[in-house]
Amino acid sequence: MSTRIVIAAVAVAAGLALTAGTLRVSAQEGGRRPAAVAGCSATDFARFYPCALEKAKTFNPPRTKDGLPDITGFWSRLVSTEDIQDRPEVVGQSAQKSLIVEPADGKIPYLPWAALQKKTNLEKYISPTAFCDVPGVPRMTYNFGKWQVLEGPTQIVFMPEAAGAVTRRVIPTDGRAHVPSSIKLWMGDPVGRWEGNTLVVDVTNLNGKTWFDAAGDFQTENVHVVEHFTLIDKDTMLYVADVEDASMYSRPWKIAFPIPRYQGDDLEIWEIGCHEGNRAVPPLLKGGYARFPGVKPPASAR
Amino acid sequence: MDTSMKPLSSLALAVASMLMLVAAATDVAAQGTNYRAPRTADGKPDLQGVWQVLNTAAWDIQDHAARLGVPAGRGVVEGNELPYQPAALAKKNANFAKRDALDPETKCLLAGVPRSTYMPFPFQIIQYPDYVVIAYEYVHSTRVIRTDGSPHSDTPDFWNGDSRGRWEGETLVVDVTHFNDETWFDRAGNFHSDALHVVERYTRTGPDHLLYEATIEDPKVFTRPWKMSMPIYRRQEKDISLLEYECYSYAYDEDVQYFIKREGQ
Repeated sequence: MSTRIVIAAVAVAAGLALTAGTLRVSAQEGGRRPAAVAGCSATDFARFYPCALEKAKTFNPPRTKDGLPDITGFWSRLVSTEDIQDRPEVVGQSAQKSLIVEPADGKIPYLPWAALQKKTNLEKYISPTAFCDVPGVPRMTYNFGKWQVLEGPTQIVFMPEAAGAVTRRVIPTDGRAHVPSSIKLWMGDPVGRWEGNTLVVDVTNLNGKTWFDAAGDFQTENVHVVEHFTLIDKDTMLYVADVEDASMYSRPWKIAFPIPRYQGDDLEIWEIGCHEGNRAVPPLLKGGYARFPGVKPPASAR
Repeated sequence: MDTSMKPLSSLALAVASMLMLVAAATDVAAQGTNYRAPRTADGKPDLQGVWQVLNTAAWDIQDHAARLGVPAGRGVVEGNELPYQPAALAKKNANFAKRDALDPETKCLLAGVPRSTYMPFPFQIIQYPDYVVIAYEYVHSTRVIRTDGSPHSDTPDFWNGDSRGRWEGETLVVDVTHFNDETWFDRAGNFHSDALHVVERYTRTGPDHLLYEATIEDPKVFTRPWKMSMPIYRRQEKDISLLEYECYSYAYDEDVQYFIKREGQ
């Protein structure tokens, strides 16, 4: 983590004049984290993942009146978005182990050109969320302090509240097909389905302009993400995202971490205008940062 | 009708089909409050689907001739005139003169209520027992409206206000308060203050139509409450779904200095 990134992150935080008066931060943020959730490690995700899979085998989740596993309610964030790979302690955040559970080394399996591009990203660009661009997928799932899930028989709504762009997702589970591949979307095109007790969301059509984190870990528009949401006890979800893009990674890779139920009693999602209050852009540009334009893989990798 | 069918068959058929066309076109007015909407599983009128207006209110909520880039249109305001206080009318006229620079929507800001309804983008209504979600394509703007009787909370001001819903017969009534003073009603400079209070009414008037009514109250700007109304149409395309309009992201894509340069205007 370069000092520049930390400075920029602080500048962004200070520059966002949030339009809602209160930004309520969940208890899990700011470095105070539980050691375990649902009887599994909450800090070592390589250990959490197999443990959570075992729990999922035996946990019988509550059902909606339509008979589906009930993930309705308010959820919080246990992990931070600075870097999805191993990172040391940074300002206001304790160290965090890699969210990547496959491959076993916890590293994103970049092809050589993509590893170089990541370095360029760190030197030249700032995380796109500094412009209030939506965080994309899977970053949406670990970018917010609090989010609400509303569940129906043919669709599921994710509604986040935090200092970021509005990234509401309406995920259809009615068996529809993806939109045509030429329609690229900042949040991608989600198509959901239930597989046993797991909500599986197939995400395509991403536009390749969003990052996984603030550390320059990027995507191309060829990326394919498959997300899995599974209750492992009544107050904990296992989140898994399978990421593949043969044009930039040498193999598919996997993120896994727990999503704990939000424990506050303020169970409403309030509007927080991000672009509306964003004063961070002029200082960032003056500081020499550019906007990440999205990149195409070299011809040899396509 | 059946006795006259034979001698006048071709003319009658022509007239009948014309009448059917007229009836279809005036679905909203003709069926009016007599229409009983299908019900959701919990017995509420089913307003769900992807909807969009077919009017020019986003440019001007009042009667207006065409101008460059703006189609002519009949207004959506009852009686057409807005009851501005004198100072507010002067401000409206000043807004109109500088509308391209001042309209918050040209800065990609949230559009507020009621304007979000008649932006030229689709929106989706999704119902749950205690919530109605209105998801707008424009910048992913979303209203999660509680319909469980919860009161307005002691909240700060919001671009889209604080919405609380209730069901009155066939109608979803949404009471919206806690606005900031930064959104406009249209591109023509019609504006409000932070004292704005909007009561919206959503009523199904047919299989593919909603009647949208909004009563506007703002004692700092208007001399009395006023009302707008319009039909909203169900998008008929197979596999219709909301896509995206990430307004400011596209502006930054064009020129990273886009908003900095605007501020210099």
